[in-house]
Amino acid sequence: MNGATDIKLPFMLIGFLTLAIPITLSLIYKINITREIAVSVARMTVQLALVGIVLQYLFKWNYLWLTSIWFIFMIGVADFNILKKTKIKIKKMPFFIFISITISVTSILAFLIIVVIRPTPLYDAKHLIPLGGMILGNSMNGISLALERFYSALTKNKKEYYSYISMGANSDEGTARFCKEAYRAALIPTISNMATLGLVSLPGMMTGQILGGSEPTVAIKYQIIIMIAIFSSTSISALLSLKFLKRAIIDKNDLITDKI
Amino acid sequence: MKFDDNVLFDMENIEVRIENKQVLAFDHISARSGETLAVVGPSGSGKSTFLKLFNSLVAPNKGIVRYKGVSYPWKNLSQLRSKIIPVDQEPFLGSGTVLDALYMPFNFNVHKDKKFDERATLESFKDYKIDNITFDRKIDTLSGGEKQRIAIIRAVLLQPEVLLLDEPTSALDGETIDIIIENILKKKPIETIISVSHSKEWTKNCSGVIEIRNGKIERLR
Repeated sequence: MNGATDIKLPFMLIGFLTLAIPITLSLIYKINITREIAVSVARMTVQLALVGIVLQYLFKWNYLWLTSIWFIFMIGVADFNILKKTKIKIKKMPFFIFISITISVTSILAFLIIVVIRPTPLYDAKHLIPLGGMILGNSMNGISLALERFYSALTKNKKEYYSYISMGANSDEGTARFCKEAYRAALIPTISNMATLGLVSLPGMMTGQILGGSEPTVAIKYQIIIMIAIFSSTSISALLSLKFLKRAIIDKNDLITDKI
Repeated sequence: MKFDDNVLFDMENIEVRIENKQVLAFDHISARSGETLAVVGPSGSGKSTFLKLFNSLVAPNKGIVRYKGVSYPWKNLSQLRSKIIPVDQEPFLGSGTVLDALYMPFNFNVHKDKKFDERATLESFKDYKIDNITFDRKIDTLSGGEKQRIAIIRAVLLQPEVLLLDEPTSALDGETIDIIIENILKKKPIETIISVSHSKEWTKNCSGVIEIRNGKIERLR
């Protein structure tokens, strides 16, 4: 296997020069995003550099316990991201998001590794971390969409919910319409993504594998199976987090708590 | 408390606070089976909140609410709520057709043994003088008074033990008020009716009157 051509550091810096174009444009047209560009480019560079170093050691040592700690860290970051995006202020939110992600990502990743891919050793960090990261990142987006949609639908349509409840619906029946809507919202991006995959741009993982020297046929197999894993994990995590959120905002009298 | 077999609802030492403001506070009030009660009082006096105590849409901060001697909170809320059905001032009927709106509650597990009776429904449409409305009409095309009547018909179709009506006549003209008085208060398709109303005509036709003033409650007759 011949890996991708290494990029020499001086040339890497030259690559940054293309940033002069968007920055100049933003200055000329007074778009006022120069600061944002600088901050996010700096963040990306530093984050990836650090992750690169960490991954090098994680792959070299290849201990399952170390990989697991890294995973818990990644789930924590995803959790934090969801909280920031959805802006739902409920005490137990961080906890139930963590549980939802952990259950869905771990179970799907375990199945993928143990049953489908079967690397040696099974706990190979080079497989676990990139695949797990992709599943995690997409599940995170799914949860954000689901929670945001459910929360806003329910708070905007309290009257509708109470009309169901007052005619004898239990809280599951009363929230069913909002749950379905939120669940669909969580799945639609992945569904439409799958339908166009490969036609416009090659997906990131495939690109990486091809550059890394894999045969396109191998890369495609990985891409197909990871898309299916992403979709399954997104659906489980969205549904779990919706159930949790429902329980958190509906009280024992089936009333929407006044905390929201 | 004297024992009375006919007491359907009975509330004791109730206090309801909403956003830390006291909305209702009273010692005792009861309603017997078969009564048609009108709850009257100035607007903002807590009449709608009072009505919501009956089906647990408002949980009191203090006190006990009993239905047939069993105190809330009930274990099986949907069972309870299926027997005490409210019709709101501006009822929610969805954005589908008239049939969708009428059929909707029959999807709930608690009503699974009930059948939606199309012929009886069409009969009610005649009684309520809305037989020009077909089942496939869009809800959005109906007037406030028509929506009100469809919501009342839907509630009656579910055959609850109690009907809770919040301002059933506020959106209606005099003639339509008479139609509803005739079909609800006189024919009494549901045994017990508790209503909030500003209409003298309506109150006159009720068997009992409860007045709420400044958060206090008094039985007038």
